Amino acid sequence: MLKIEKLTKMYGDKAAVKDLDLHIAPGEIYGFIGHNGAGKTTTLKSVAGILKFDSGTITVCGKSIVDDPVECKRHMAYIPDNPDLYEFMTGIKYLNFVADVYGVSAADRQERIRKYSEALELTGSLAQGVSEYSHGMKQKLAVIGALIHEPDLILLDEPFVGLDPLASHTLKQIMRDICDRGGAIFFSTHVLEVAEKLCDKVAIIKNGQLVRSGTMDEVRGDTSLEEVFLELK
Amino acid sequence: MLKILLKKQLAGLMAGIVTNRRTGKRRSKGALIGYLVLLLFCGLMTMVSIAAMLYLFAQMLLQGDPQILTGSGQSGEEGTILTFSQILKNAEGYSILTGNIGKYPLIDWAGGIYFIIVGVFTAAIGLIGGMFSTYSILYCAKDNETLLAMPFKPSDILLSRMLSVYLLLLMYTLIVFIPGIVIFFIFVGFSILVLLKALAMYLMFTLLMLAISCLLGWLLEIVAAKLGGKKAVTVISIIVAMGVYLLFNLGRMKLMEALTGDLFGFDEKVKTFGYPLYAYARGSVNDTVSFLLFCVIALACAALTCFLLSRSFISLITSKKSFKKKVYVEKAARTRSVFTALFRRDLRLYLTNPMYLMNTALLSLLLAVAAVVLLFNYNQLHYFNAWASESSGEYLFPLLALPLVGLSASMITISSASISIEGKTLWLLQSFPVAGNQVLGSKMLLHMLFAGIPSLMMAVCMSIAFGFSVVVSIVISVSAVLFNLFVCCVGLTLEARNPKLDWVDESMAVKQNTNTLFSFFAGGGLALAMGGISMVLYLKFHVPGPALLAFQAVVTAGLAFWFTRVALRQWPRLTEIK
Repeated sequence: MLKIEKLTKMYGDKAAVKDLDLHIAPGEIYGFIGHNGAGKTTTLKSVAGILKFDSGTITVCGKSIVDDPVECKRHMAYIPDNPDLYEFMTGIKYLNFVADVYGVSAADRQERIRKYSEALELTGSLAQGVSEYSHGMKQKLAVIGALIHEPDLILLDEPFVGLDPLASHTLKQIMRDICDRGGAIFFSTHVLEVAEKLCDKVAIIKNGQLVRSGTMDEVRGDTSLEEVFLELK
Repeated sequence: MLKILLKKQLAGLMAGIVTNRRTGKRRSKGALIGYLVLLLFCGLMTMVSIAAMLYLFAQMLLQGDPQILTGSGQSGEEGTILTFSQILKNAEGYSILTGNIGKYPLIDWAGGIYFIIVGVFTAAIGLIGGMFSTYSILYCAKDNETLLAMPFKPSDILLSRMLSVYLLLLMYTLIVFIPGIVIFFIFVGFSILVLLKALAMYLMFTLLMLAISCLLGWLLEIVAAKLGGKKAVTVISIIVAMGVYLLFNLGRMKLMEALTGDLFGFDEKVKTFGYPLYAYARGSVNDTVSFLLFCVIALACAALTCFLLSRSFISLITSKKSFKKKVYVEKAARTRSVFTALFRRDLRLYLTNPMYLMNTALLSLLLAVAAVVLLFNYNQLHYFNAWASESSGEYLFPLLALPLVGLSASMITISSASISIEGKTLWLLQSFPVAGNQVLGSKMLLHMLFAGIPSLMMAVCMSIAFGFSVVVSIVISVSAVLFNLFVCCVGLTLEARNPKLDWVDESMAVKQNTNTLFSFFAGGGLALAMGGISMVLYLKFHVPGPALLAFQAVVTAGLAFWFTRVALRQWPRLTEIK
């Protein structure tokens, strides 16, 4: 589904990400863990086609993000850590706009908007302006917008920040459902318990370099993910 | 605390200059000097054009026609047959007076009239520059909550923002003050006393502009809080802007009438209907009482504004706008093409953002109105063209038409703020499966809708009013549209290469964005160059008019198509921004 090979991104003389290799297969929830400034967001943005990288290759569903960005993006959805959405739109107008951009049919979008907005308890607020939304509501709207075209790969940067416990739980269920139908999730988090419970595989990045990756059992061994993470400091 | 807040405001103002927005790093010394030289050049060009206008006003008085100074049919008093220049030169040092007009020495009277003109220009620049940004800087900054959570007094936050508006206004009004005082000294000779007085009056006049702008911003925020959100602000802004424009035009017409007719009663009328302007003008010359009075007026207005605004500042910025809770009712969804969806999004962003709309499209409206006004003056303009054709050839006005429309169109800077205004939401467009030419094409269409159509209207109406031939009319009209495409694409190219995305308030994306300035100068420079070259070749070297018109059309079309290709390729560059 997603293949990252020898990804390197420089900011001036500093390597934000260096020679990163990652493979995510269909059906996998892949957690991405690292300290602040380790290179998680840079990697996610590079995969999403938002950030140009210096070397390496990123392929999504067999297509290169550099050579065919539009086709890659059709299969993906990206939600940043702090989703700034269009405040000049209402929630429903935003979702219809996203659906138009992804070419989702009227029947499909209606059904998905209903399904996900009810699951995330946002239906009653869809007629309100996005400018009136709280941080959590914006996060929920961004999630619905990301799911509206049923992407194969979802990239999430700290998706649980700002969500209430019920919405967090619902989102975890949705993530699992997506993977069960053959999709893949690649998300960064600082909440190690969430990663431990939710992820099939996990990767730990430090100073732009991958230090550990694999299945949860391979990475944590006999200890907990927290201990592994703290040992890396 | 105020010092810290001021430093933050200044850092925001300077960020675009000292920092490279693409890399997020400080510019190198060489790059910074180059950038400043470019900015200085743009500022100088603006000053030169304002100086030219002020010089024209002065020259109307310099002709030495007694009727101009005394007023048609009025009996001239002693000394009134002197030209403006003579009056001022004779009065060097303010000791030799050639006569009196009413109770005033001639020198004061003439200088006063001159400074009334300077004051009108300063007020126009100051109000246009300040009125739409003040609301957004004072009340809509994104760091409101952050600052309120810190141990700052709300009044200090307000004061620091007012001071940053004041600095902005000082920059705007400086481009009138410098040419104004330089031209005055050209006629009168340099005087340190006059310079100091004029400098003090410049600071005070800008303070008055600040008070007016802040009061307007305060009223807009109150209306927005009562009626809910930006739509109300947009509507009110349009009404106020049109009001200010009409008032300015009325004042300009009265000024022109006075300069060509009854100049005697003019200052008295200004005294009656706009005393602060009168006090400013007279205070700038040699009237200490007016000088002190104007200082008192400006300081009192600023103090009163500070007092009024500080009383409601915290409640206004912390209050949720009164939104009506709307109940969502599911409706049958309508699908749209990607381009239509993008364009509708761009249009909505534009129309719901008063800062962006009023700063970039006010001229669109005025251009359309002016085009219709031309048609109402069909007879005079037709006659005028026929008269000019006899003396200077029939292509004099056709050759000036495109440069004039182009110069106006250059001031409509929609595209040159169109990516910056996306701010932190740009990630959405970047992560969507849309091609760059679809995103940029939609922004182009928006620009062409609001700039191309009024320009086309102006070109067509101008052609009808002046009685150009059908072929000439078509060439000018098509070229006018292409000229807009050129300005649009220059703006888009600059934006894609160097957008200002890290803004705290929208005025930073629209007004403090150097891309708008550079695109204006690209368009204005092309218009002036084409007009100037055509006039020299036509009038001095007698190059045939049709050839020059074809030259204008080919240059415009060539640049428009070339820049369209360049602009449409710029989208991937946005992924290079940190």
